[in-house]
Amino acid sequence: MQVPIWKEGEYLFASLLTGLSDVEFLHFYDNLIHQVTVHKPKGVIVDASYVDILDSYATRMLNEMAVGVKKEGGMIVVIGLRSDVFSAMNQLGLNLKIESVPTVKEALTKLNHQYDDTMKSNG
Amino acid sequence: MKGEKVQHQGVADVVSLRVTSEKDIIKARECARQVAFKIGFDSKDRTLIATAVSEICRNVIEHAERGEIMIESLQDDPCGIRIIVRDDGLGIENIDRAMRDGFSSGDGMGFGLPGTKRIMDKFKISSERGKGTEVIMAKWLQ
Ligand SMILES: Nc1ncnc2c1ncn2[C@@H]1O[C@H](COP(=O)(O)OP(=O)(O)OP(=O)(O)O)[C@@H](O)[C@H]1O
Ligand SMILES: [Mg+2]
Repeated sequence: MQVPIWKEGEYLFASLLTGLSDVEFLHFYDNLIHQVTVHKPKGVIVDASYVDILDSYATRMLNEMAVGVKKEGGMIVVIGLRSDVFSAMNQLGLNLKIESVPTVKEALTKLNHQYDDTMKSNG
Repeated sequence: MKGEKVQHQGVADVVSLRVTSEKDIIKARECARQVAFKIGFDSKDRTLIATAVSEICRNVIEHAERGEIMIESLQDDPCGIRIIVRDDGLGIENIDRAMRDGFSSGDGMGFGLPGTKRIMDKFKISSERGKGTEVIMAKWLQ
């Protein structure tokens, strides 16, 4: 299973699938960083509504993606993360270092704010 | 450690799977989720149980290469799920240290063992250097 990534306007979208293997996660990571380098989007929106587990591996991968995307001047926002999945991850002691909001609309608001701030601070 | 099928008292059903590749981690956690569903755990608990299975099986693949998992439905006194994960890897030198938040002998975040203990009702780990590791964990149906 390959994680679909597509471009819409100035944003990249991706939709995580249920039961992604470690290798598939790694492919997604590489592909996303590649797409971000090519398209230089204002932001990346990752739909996590099909994710039924965030274990230490998946959490680490997402956190590393956030760092990789940031290096290219972008930001990731996760949408639709199930509350039971988020809470199990937290109870494990893990920390998702990515903003998580319920909907695309809120994600876009976040990304636009962040983008404007960066533009301002860069003069 | 060999996987013999021993039917304990009060165990209604046992599923056992080999854990030899990262894909088996996904199979094991899906299987645990299904068993937990049949027992009657709600979706929050099913996710906790599946997350615990993911972490412990991941440790087998990362730190011991191969092992096996047994998932048991417990009938009455108390009713719940018991999960046994065994491997015949190198074992853990210092269990107290391994159980500490943030300790990893590799490049992990070191929350797998202590975190799993937090999310299960019962958690017991035993290990013998050179022989392998066994984790027995359980969650009771409230
Ligand atoms: N099955 C095992 N066989 C041998 N050593 C193990 C096993 N499970 C855990 N360990 C040891 O215990 C340490 C702590 O395990 P734990 O799962 O808490 O962290 P981790 O696997 O290193 O990182 P993370 O789980 O956060 O990715 C490991 O680094 C490893 O040294
Ligand atoms: Mg681990």
